[in-house]
Amino acid sequence: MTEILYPPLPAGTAVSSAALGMGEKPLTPARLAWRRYRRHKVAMLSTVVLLFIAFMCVFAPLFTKYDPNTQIRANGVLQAFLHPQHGHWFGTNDKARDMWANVLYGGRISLEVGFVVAMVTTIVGTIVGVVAGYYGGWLDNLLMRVTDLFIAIPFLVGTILLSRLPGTQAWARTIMGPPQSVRAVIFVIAVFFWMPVARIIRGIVLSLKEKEFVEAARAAGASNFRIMFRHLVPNCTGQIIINTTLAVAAAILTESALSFLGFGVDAIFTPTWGNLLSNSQDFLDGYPYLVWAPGLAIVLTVLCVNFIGDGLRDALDPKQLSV
Amino acid sequence: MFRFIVRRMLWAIPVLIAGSFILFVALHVTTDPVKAAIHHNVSPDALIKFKHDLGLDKPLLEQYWIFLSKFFRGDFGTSYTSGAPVWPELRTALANSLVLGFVAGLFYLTVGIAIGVVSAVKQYSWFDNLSTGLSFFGLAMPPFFFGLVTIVLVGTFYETHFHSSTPLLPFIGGVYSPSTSGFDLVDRIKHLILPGLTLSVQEIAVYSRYMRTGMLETLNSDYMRTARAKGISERRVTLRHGFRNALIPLTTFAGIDFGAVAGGLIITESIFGYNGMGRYFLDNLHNADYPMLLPWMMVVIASVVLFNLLADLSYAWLDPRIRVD
Repeated sequence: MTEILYPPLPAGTAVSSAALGMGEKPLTPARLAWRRYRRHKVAMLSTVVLLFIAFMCVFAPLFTKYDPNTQIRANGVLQAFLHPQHGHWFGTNDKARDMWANVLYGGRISLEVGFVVAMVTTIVGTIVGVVAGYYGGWLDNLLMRVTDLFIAIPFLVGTILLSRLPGTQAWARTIMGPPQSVRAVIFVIAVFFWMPVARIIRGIVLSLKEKEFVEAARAAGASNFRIMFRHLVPNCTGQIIINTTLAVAAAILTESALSFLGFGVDAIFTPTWGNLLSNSQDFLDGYPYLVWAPGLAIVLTVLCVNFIGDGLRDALDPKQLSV
Repeated sequence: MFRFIVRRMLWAIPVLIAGSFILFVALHVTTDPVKAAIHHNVSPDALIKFKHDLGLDKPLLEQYWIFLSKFFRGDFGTSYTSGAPVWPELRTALANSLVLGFVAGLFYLTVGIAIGVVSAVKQYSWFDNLSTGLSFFGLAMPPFFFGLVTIVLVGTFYETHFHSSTPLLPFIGGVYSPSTSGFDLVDRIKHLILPGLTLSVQEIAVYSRYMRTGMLETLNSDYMRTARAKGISERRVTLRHGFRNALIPLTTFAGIDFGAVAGGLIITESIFGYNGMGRYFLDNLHNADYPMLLPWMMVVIASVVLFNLLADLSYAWLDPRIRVD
């Protein structure tokens, strides 16, 4: 690490950087990371593209005059399978719905699933990891065996079975919402996504908890809770951010895979990139253009997220070789 | 080494039992054969009898025990829906998935490892940069999107631009074209190309990255310097000392990958209508056909456990340091 360490100053002391013998602003770890991140040109470009995609999806009404479920009619006749043309950039599908509008609104759901799953699993994974690593002993053993168990269940088999749960069990509907709702899909994916974070955080905590600053905190009377969440977790920030980013990409891919198999978000009223793609497979013969728009939207988004993850890894964890 | 093998094999037994029990419960909680059968116009009285005849009114634990004891006696039973014996169908599905999985696996491992080695040896060359760029694309490419694109390319696109009435490669129907009778190797291979490629896209990206990282690590290690200092040729140093050691971590990943094959290449098989374990699962899940699904489940878990075991053993065999703990 190359940070410049200052002697701790009493609160309220105003010391100019010049007084410390520095002509410039002090470099905090965050600023150093930002500086390294900026140097990663592809990651910077990806950030811009991803923000642009997210902006278009969130503010979809600004970019299309159609509702995703509006059926396009001309002189009262349904306009299904219009080839891409002026006014319908990506054509219309079998239900005479505008594909451009569907891809934009579908992106809302796909991105929502990606971000919410990443957030939830990061929080759960971090808590499991830090508790297991910090307390050790039987608690660690128990939590890690549970983690192993979740890893051992074949991923798609597990998610498919779980996605059917609200359809058969009333109690599941109170947690997961109606079957094939966005909430249910987020829940299903999140259940099988928290394990890698938990393992990584546990690994870091195992080595961090032997360090002097933890001992110092304990000597100063800090509670276990405080040590875990004010001292250990902030020290894992880099890894947490990197893994959250990669989880976004993986969750978007998983959502589309589940939708593709018919276990994702209900395709009738809620478009997602996955179920648009899934729907298009029945019309490959005459209307292959239906495949391109949602498919390329997924590829572009996941590509951007992965590049951002790569840039963050370089920025936050310079020691690690990028994979 | 012998004790290590025995210990690992014994550990596989509780994992198999726990895993199968969890999936057994999951299956019973998320599916209902009686509900699935309502589509077939059955009266309520018949339904109760149906439930009783199938033993579905017994406690879950007892049902699990009955299933397990029958399974280990080789009694797989017959399907709820078709009445056909389970084993022949399961065997066909398993064989098809294994063929596809291993052919594709051989392909993506070879290509991925080759790309990874060349990228590492010629780090930051144009080849390395190109393969890095492509691997990012590969990782971002959902297999089903790639599958659909290949179908469009060999189907509609090929037919219109090359004035052909038949697609370049078959993409529907698992194994044989309806016209062929008996075993036709060429036809069989043709049917494997598109699903195989679809399976390989992401995997090549993953393995080439793993291999590159592993190779770079070994290339910069001390024993490589020692080997060079002893005057061994660069080629031999790279292959015998670098390559072999860089392969070790890959065995674990490959073991996990191959273990999942029996569980079905669910997405790929459903795109191409390939008659494997994945399709078998989805079809029978729809009918909640327990006699079909439960043996499937056992095979899937056993295969995951078996291949993990093989990966661990090969790991221990390749890297003696593992055996110590």
